[in-house]
Amino acid sequence: MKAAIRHMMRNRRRTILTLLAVLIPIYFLIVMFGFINAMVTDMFESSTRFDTGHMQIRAVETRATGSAQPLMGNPADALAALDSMDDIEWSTVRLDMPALASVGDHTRTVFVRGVVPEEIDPVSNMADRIVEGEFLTSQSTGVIVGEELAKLLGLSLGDEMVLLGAHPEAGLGAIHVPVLGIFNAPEATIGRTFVYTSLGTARQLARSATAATAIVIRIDGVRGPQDAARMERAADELRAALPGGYEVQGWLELLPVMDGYMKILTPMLAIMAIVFFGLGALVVVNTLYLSVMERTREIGLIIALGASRLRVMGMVLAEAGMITVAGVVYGVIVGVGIVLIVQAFGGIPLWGQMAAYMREVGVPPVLRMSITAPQVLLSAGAMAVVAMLAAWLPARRASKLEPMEAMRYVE
Amino acid sequence: MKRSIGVLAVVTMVGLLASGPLFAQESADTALDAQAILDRVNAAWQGDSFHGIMRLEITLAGATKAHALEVWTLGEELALVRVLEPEVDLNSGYLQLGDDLWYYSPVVGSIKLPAMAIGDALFGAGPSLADVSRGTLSDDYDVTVEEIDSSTNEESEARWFLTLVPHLDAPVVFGQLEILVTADFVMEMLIYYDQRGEVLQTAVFSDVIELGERKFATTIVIEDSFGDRTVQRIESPLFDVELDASFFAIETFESWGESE
Amino acid sequence: MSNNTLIQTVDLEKTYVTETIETPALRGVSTELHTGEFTAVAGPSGSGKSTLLHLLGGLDRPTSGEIYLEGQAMSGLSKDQLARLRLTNLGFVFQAYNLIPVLTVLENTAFVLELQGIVRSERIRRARRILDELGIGQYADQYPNRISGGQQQRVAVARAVVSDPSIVLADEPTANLDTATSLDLIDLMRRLNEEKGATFFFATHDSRLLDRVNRLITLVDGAVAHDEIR
Repeated sequence: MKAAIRHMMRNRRRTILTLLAVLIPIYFLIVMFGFINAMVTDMFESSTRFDTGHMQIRAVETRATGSAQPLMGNPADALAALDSMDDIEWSTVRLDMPALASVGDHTRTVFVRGVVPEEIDPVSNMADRIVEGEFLTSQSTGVIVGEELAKLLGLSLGDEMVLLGAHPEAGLGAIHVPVLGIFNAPEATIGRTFVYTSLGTARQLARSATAATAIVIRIDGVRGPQDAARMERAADELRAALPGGYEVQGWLELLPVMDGYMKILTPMLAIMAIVFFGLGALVVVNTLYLSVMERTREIGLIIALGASRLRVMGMVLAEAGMITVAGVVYGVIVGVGIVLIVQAFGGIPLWGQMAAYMREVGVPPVLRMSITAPQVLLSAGAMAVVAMLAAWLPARRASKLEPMEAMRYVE
Repeated sequence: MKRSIGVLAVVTMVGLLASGPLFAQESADTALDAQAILDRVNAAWQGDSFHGIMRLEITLAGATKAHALEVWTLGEELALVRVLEPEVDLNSGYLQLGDDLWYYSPVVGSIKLPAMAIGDALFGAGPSLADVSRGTLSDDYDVTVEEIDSSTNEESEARWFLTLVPHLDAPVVFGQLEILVTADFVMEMLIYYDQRGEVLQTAVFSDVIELGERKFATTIVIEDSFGDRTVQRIESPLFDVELDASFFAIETFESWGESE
Repeated sequence: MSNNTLIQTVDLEKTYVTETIETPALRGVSTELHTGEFTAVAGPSGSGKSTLLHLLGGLDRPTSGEIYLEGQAMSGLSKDQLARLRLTNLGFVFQAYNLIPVLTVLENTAFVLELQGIVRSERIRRARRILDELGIGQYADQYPNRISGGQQQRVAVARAVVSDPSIVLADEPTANLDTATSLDLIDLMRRLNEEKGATFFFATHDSRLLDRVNRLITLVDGAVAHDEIR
């Protein structure tokens, strides 16, 4: 051990290089985890917040209904099942249906969303997006429309339009509705298509006093995709409690785009980790080999004096081990340190296009970071293993030296 | 907005302009080819105009609703459907003028519908406006026929078995149609297949009446692969009635509203 | 083999083989070394003396023949077993590069004891004692590169004897030293041999050393030419 330490001190540059080879991949991976965690959590928040919730209860689809969601005639029994569960943070009933919106000779296909306005704050920032007029209340008999739709139909605040319900499973409801508010949508398609109204009004359109298409649910304690297990447990519990004819859809099912992102994240991280770890390992192998070669005569002497092969290997591995431990410790300190600093500052502010885009989708324009203990342990542990494996080859080589040849070795 | 199949292609009312003479209905033994048989079948609904009452019982997802419609057609371009039942929908309905389509409700007035709504089921199931106003068994198909020995089948009077395969470029959703036709050139059964050869729905015709030289079924029961069912009965059918084109207007709906 | 036979060789042969050339280094060497001897094997360059010493030390394997160390045949032993044998039974002094550069004189001396698993306090005690006995105790905390060549060799001797080996094998121990230093070293080893009964076996062509041994084996072309007790 002593000899190993002194060797390292004698070749400071090489020791530092090896240290860096261990430290950098760890710190890099921790930082990447940090960004990705926060990014995924933000994406999760913004997408579940826009309308999905953590999960939804829906009617099982028994026939093709095109773009319309299957109708629940009366979700009272589903709501009763929901009441029996403990870990529901929040839920609301919603009725979505395709419809025709008509003003004079202009008719457009729209998507009517009937909500309980007082309840939807956790999943919608529509109230904040009103640019003219006001948001809905449960007593409202009117609608709010996007700026784009208002323009297409020539609507102003207070104008009336006709809505004709077009759900294949619902009756044909036709109603006059005043425009109570106009909102600015995060994307033009939303602004052209979505018409928000109270649940009661939507039910008039569906000619059913009790119809719904979804019960949107948020689960206690879920902060992001890392709580997937918790969500899954809640979903299973709910499925067991629900009567037949209903299904529970999780957020990934409801947001296949996110599912796609999530699915590429892990392989992407894995590839980055492999590249960095690989490079780190190469440096470790290289520097250790150099170290062994430099000490060929010394190693020859040690073997001649009677050290076993295992002992010789142990010596080399001990040196590698010390550097690895140091590298791991510093790597973790630097990596976690950066994450904590960024967290303390509330994130790295973004600018330009990126910031504008993020504001559009309702996410604050900062690059945030967050890390979990298992991720830190994984980064540190994996690199430690890689470094020690990389040390194996030079150690083995040292142990196989022939003492007399080694002692005669001239650099 | 669509039921993908709301179609009752051959059924009910019609509107081919009488492009050919009404055939006298004969039980002919002369060797008729497939196209000729089909033409004779179609002929039962040919007429310049039509007026009648249609009663629908639509069973969708286990729930049954009843509708009653009063239907007028003039040629292939003009059609007006007035809803009589249920009472809540009284005097609402559809108006077709060529490719333009409107829905009218006494509550909200008229709403212009997009052109493709013409193919959508009027009530979520059952016939679409296109079915109501236009016959669709036409030039889009190649027809072949087989004679059936009806003496072997006591339940059926079918004499011919027609197979209709749409032309490759025909704007038709079916893969194939099969029709059982009686010796009187009346359809007994019509089976619709999708592009994969699966049965989409089956229409069974009964209660055949004679109107002048026409013979056609007034009751049609359609069942589809989801288990939904529509029973359609035609009451008081009248062909070649005197109708004015001006009748086919929103004002007609409005006038009913006022008079009640 | 008599009771005090430490090493016995029987028809020892060693041939070095390169790609195309075979070089016989030892041919049929049969001899015995006994406890308390102060023996040298001498001969002209290429006569095989270093080869013989390496074989006796288990640092190389013979092409044929047998070596018995304290009655144990060495031919069947694995590398690790040979290493163990070296550790417990032998002491080595090499011509050069005897010491581990990153260890102090004291630590170098105690190194073999450490390999043997002796506790720290004990090995420090023993190392200090032998260094003092050999008159180099004051260099205990120095690194090898801070002391002279002669002092380094003394340390090598100290390390070789500190574990009380059965025999010390020394390969040209005086080759790199000047006369005065060489004589000092030789006298040191003699003293150890006379006072402590340490057995020494040298491979050397240094006449100053050859004059002081009490047995001389002469090799010529890999075979024993003379074996003389003085």
